Amino acid sequence: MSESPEQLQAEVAAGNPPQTVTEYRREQSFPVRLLRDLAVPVLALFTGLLVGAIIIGLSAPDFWDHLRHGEVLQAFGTGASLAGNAYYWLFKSAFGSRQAWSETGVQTVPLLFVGLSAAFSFRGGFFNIGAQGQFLFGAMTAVLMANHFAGMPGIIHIPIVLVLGFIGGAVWGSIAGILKARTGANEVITTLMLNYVAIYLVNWLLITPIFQRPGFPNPITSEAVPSALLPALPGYRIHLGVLIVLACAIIIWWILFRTTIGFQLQTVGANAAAATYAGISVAWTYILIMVIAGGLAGMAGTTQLLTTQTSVIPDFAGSYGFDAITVAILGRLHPIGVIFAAFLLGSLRSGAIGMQSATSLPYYIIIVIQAVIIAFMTSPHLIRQIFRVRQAAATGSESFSKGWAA
Amino acid sequence: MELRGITKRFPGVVANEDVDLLIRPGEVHALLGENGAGKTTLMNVLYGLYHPDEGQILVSGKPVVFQSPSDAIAAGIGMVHQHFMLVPVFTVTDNVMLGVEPTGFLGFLERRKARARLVELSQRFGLTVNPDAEVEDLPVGVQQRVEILKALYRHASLLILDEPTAVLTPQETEELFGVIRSLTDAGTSIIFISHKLKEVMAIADRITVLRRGRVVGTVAPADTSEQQLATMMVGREVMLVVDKDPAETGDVVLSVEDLVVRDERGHNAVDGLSMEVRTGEILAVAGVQGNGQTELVEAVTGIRPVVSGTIQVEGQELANASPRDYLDAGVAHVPEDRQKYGLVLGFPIELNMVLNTFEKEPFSHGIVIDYDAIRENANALIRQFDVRTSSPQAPASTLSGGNQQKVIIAREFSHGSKLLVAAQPTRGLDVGSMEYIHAQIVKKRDEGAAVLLVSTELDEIMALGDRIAVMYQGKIIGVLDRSEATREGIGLLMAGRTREAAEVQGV
Repeated sequence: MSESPEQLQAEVAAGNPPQTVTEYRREQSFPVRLLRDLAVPVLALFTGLLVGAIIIGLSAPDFWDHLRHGEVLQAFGTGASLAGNAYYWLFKSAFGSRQAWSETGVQTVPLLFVGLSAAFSFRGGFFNIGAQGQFLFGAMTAVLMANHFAGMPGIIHIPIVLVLGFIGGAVWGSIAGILKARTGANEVITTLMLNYVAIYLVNWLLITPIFQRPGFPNPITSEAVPSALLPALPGYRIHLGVLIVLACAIIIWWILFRTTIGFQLQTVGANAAAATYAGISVAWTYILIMVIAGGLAGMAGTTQLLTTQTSVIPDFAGSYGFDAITVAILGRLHPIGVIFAAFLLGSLRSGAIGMQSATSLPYYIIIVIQAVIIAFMTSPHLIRQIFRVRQAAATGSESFSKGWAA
Repeated sequence: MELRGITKRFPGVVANEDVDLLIRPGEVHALLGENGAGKTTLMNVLYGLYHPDEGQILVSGKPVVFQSPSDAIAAGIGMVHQHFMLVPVFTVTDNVMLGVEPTGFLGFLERRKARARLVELSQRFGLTVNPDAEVEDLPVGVQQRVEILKALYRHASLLILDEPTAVLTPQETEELFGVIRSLTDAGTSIIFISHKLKEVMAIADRITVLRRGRVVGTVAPADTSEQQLATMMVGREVMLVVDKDPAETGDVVLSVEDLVVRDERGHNAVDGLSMEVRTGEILAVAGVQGNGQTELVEAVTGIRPVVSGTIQVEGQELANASPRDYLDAGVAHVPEDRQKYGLVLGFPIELNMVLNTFEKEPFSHGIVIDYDAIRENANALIRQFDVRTSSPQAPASTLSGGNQQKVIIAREFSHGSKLLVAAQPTRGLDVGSMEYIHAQIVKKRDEGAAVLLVSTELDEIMALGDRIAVMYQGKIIGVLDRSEATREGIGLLMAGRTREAAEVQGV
């Protein structure tokens, strides 16, 4: 079985050019890549809605009655019809009329701001979960400045308040950035803890003379003066914030993918050691990330203040701090993806309000749906197994091969 | 043990094609081939991790089918992986018995029984190891012995060693060879996977060469030469000796004085080191791994802070300057750990090629990145440095080790022409890539750059160095001209034995 050296030399001489055994996957065409990138989010959404439907079905009172009497088919029939009815109203209330579209837009704006904030910091490897605190500080600065500059014309007043709201969030956000840059403090811990600091600091500030609405005993600020409020479409609640946030998404996309800052940030996020080697200042990058991410969250608080919730109260930030993470992950940390993710969650919310009044199902069912979506998004292996989605070895992304039943 | 007509296909690739392999009792059978030649796939087939698409495995003449590694282990096959599979916080005894723990009354562990057998095995084969030591406290060479003992404990009569010397010092390699000989004397067969020609020639009874998934031939060391093996492996004539003219040295580029640098644990890893590198020469720093070379390289490229001392590049003081300052001063750096520092594996090749130059013209204008310029640069460098890839947009992680290193070399050679700092530039690379990278480093020298080469491979030091500095415990304990240096003398200096070295070198 062994070849002689002479034969070998002959083989070489005959021209058997050396080549590598491994051949890499060819670049896939755009539609294939798009399908691959969308597979997991779409399947996660589908699974979330399916689980939501099951819960709604099980919550139908008739379902258990029928089951008790052994009427299995009727039981499932009622369950399915209640779920169908709920989703019908959910959809109708989100997209069924111009008013519905307007509400969906109003719900989308703050989600998109905080989603961009989280996506931007995650891209830089900075796991910022402090959007809540930054949101609050943006709003606090904005309410102070809106009333400080009262009397200005809106065209000057609004931009000033927006910029100062951005700065408010940026200052709060940069605390965690500086801590990590200087001392290496774990940002998950610091941003989470700074949320508590922000909440209770704001609770206290709200009863100080600087912020508290004159003559009120409870913690609430004065309303932002009308000249600072963002103009809305006449007859609707939809406001200028939609355009501002879309512009921000495009700017963030541009920074991430077209500038040296974005390159720097993504290098730090992908491999901080290699970034150091390449002469990038990792410390400054972390601070920069938190200035921008904090600013975006601050803008979220500011636009809320200048539109639907015109004064700050202790619960002002609601669940936006954690929605930020949901939107960013669902949008796969891509500004364009985040637009769709925020729109999706925004429409679930505006839909849920209509669903609640039409079917008396609780609004919070959509929080369950949202949670299931995120659980599946963050466990792509699970979703791949359920839906038999192949993983493309070379890229780490997914390709869709077979359906549910395969 | 025999493999007959083994074929294993992966989507798009035939990893093994019609491979025959016969292992005789008590022989050391070396499996030689470049990275990606199918050595590891073949061994995974033998170890039951993969099922062959065609062909069969015979044990003592009878065909067998291995469904999983446990079948292979039952048939007396043991495998020592390149990356050890040990629990760091367990003792040696616990690691060895893990999975086959002897139990007695009511299922209680009989650790003493396991320990006694372990001691008996280690004495019989000269595998000295403290059975009660925790694995994380042991040097790599000893950890490898634990892996071998694990296989022997499971009654292995055929031991597969996957690139066993990749992580060892020259001394540890010698010790391993001693262990291998005592194992074969006792009738154990060894499959020794490697791409290092010298070692294979030294230890193997027979050598099977794989190329592109096929067996090129099986030869005995006595009937062949390193040159012929290299030709079989690569498929063309390979230059094993680096062809270079004498150095034409000029001005001092890098000057280091009394440098002190600490490692992570706060010890002075570099401890009062001084040296100079001039234009047109390669200063090769030899030394056993862990004598401060890593810290020295990181200090003279700005990655690691300096405690005291000076580092000057063309007279400019740069101690404690940032990596950016070193880049701007014209220092190029091929880092020791190419996957940690040299590349962002998830990034496309084209971005990795501008990792430290992306902020400069023509790759960006102001803060706006010019992706067209980056693409053009990548296409040119891929052609010039012969990087084997399907596309400049493929992630760096898809490249073989040799091609990853070529990406780094291409990037570092396209900027910073004054000083090149290259740390372990060919570690883990196959003969073909090694030849290429050596030629590039010599070319850089001939263009007038000063080159600081740090390597633990004596062959590389001897092949490339114009002057050879030996580093021992954070200091340079001897600098020899290439013309007067001998392997023996440098080996003694590497062990810190200056006096004997002086006698050998006659200086």
